[in-house]
Amino acid sequence: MKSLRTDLLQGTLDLLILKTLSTAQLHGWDIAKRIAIVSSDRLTLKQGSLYPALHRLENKGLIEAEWGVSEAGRSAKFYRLTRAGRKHLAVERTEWNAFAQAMANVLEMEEEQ
Amino acid sequence: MSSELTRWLRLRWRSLFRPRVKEDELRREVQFHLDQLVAEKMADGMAPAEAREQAIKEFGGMDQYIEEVRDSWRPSFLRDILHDLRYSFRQFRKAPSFTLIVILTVAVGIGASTAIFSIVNSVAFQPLGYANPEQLVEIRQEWPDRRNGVTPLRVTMEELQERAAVFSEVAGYGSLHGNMTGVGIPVRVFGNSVTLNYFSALGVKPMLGRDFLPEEGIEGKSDVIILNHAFWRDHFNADPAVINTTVFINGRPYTIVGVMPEGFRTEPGSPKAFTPLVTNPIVTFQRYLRSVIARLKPGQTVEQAQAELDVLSQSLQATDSELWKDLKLRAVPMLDYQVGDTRPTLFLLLGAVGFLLLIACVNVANLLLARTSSRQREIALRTALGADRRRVIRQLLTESVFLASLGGISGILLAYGTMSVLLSFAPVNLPRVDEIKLDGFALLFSSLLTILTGIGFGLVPALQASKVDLHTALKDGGRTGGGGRRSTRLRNGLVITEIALALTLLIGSGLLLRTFTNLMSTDLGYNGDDLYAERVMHLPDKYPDNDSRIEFALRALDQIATKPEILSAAFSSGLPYYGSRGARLDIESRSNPDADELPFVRVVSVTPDYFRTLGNTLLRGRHFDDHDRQDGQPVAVVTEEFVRRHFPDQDPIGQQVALVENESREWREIVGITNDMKWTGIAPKPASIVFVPYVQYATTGHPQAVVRVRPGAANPGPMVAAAIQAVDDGMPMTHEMSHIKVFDGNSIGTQKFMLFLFSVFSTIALLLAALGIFGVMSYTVSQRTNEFGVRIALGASAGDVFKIVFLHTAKLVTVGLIIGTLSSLALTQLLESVLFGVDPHDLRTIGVMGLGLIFVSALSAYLPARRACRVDPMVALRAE
Repeated sequence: MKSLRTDLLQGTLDLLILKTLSTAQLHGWDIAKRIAIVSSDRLTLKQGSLYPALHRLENKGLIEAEWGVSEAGRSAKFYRLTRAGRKHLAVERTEWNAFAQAMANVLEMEEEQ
Repeated sequence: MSSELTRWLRLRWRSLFRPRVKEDELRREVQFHLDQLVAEKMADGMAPAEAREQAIKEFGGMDQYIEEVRDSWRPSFLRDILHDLRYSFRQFRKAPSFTLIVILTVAVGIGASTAIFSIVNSVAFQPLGYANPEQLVEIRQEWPDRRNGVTPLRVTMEELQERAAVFSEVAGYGSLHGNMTGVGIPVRVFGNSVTLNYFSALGVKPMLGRDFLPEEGIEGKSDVIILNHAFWRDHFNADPAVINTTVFINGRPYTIVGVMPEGFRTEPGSPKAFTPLVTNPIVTFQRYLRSVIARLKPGQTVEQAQAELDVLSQSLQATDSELWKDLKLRAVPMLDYQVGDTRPTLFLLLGAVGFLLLIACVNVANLLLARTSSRQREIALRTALGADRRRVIRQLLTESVFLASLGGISGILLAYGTMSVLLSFAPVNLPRVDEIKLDGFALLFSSLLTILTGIGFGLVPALQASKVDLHTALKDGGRTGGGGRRSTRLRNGLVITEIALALTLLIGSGLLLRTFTNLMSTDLGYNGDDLYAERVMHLPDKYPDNDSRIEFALRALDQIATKPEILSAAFSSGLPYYGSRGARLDIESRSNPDADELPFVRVVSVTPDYFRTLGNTLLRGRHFDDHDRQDGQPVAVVTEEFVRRHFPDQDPIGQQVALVENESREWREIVGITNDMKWTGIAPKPASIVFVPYVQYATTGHPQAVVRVRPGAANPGPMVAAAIQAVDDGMPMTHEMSHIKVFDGNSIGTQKFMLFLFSVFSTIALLLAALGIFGVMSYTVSQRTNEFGVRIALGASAGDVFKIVFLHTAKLVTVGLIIGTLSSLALTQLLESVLFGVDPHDLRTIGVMGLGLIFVSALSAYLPARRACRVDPMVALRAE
């Protein structure tokens, strides 16, 4: 399967991170892994780009972080959603779905012509 | 919510002040990720070196991401503001004259209002320098009709102390007038003789030395004096060693026991020294209390005090109906008593400067509006490139706040710089002048004003500009983008406002100018140029009776006459600004035996040369001469005002009148009518005066010597002192006689001050209005270039186009003039108390100022109009 060019869509990465964190408290490495697994490796990203996004979300108060211990016993920084983050995710998801639906409709129409 | 706030604060805190710790954490976080990646690769069977290389590649540029994260740590609002400021600065550099005009306009508006606000606040509102000043009241006694010779305030004070439960302390003071010797150059002292508890009632202690002692209120022990700070500084070189030294007042020795702290004052005009008030006052001090003050007990209000005073005055009236009849006691808060008179003037100035500030703001709003409209294209471009509306508004707001701040800072500097100039024009009766400074409150006020002005005039253009329809704005090339109906209306409204405000200020200053010229051309009835006066302080033991005083006066005049610089001289019991005694007047032809029902007149006893010395003109009959002897026929000379009041339908010459001071009535014949004299100032009505020969009237108190010197000659003080001391070498004389001309000037100080400020304000207002018209018309012309081009191409002459622009201006000016005239008709009423000889609704002033404004408006519309009719149709059409 071909990888999708996720970098084109601004805000996509933020949404992916928020969704991933909606089920668990995770560190950066886990987040990258989960996105890869859930999207069946179709959404690949430069793993480093995760970090500016994480810090941006933290500054916005959508997620919060604390230092903990990883399964391997090393200290790692864990992120989790805040209440604001959860709300934001819900809104964004609705918008994203609406957008995707609209896009799909338009593309379908063109094919019919 | 609060946990969110603390988290946010912690983040900001760390990013601003602990960047190192954060950076370490970030590196650790990223390192953990890389290590995991490497471990995964190695688990897949890669060699460690290869795994590391692969991991770094997959991760992407580590430093690049770290840098990106670091960027996000910098608080974004700060970053944006810095960016906006840089951008604003570039914009301003591109339009330096616009920037300069805006900054200057704001500076003038804020500078003037800060200065005036500082004056008003320092004088009228800052608490007085006493302990708990809000507890202090001045107690006034009021009679509907002032009773002759009865001033039983001293008794009242004791009554107050005993019977008014609201007061914790009651104190009072009388006048202390004298010439002080024993301090190098003799000096005149105006001070207070105060009750012993006076300073403790005010809650102020001497800075040096001590307060009065309880036994110092008794005759024989009361020869002690406390100096006020400024007097001590100016005449004793601020020498602390003056304590326990001796000075002489009117020849009587006093021991200096204390010096009051700087800024201590008791009433309008600062007293120079204080002596204890003795129970049995001696003749050299005026016998009666001028003022009684009281301190309210904590928690008591002025209203409660007034209620108690009402009860008290009623019971006093019941006990002794003659003495207390009609007496009313009133409690006035101390601050009101000290500055109350000046408040209306100060508020007028505050109003005027408010107008100026308003004009400045309107003008700047106008300029910004025009400018933003012409930047529509740029703003549209930025919006198209992805700037959101909020961001654009913020940029525009930053620009205007930045401009306003620069203007505000310049304005505060301007206020600092002009304050001393302003105060040099302040009237002498303005209280607390030495307390005036640009205080913190005024600074706060002006900074607030600055920011509000910035936001105020930034907001309208900002909102308007950000609503631009991208498509239209880009297509029109920004040329017609801002010419929407609404913004044109707004701009026209602003110009109309400016014209109306400017006209109101102009009419105000026109009225004041006419007041001033009226005052200056008023016939005073005397000529204050080269006219000098001084009180002669008769010592009671040396001049115990009238004969000795008269003899002294005649000998002193002989001596003064020998001085070549002195053209003429006289002694008198009254002069303009020096006051005079009063007596009841009886007229023989309709005599009334009840003295209480007789009217009051001023009585002035004068030596024969008095009228010549003052430059007063005789209208009918004769002045006095040497034949009017002590034992001769008693005579009188009266003023025109006296005739108007008492002999409106009769010839006063030859009438017999009596001046009733005791029970005796000595009839004297009116022999002359003399020109009216202004007695207390230029503006008040002339006084009704009866002049009597010096030798025919008992002189009490201290007479004045008055001399006229050769035009332009120096102060004759030393000369007159020498002449008088040749007769009595113990007579305390200062070397500085008072110039009557100076009093003339002081008496119209309020009008002068207001005229000065109003002229400055209205000149600036006129300039700003002209600038506003020029700005708007230029803008309109540039907006309508195409239209004019088309018109010219279709055969319109240059004159037609010129007319269009001029008619537009004329419409705005006409509406502005109408509104301005209406508002000034309503507002100049407030000026009435300072106007003289001119009606607040004087049509001529309104007309002249209106014409002036029309002229200036025409002038400022001329340039844009000329530009309009020179439009080249080809160029204009191609520009579309």
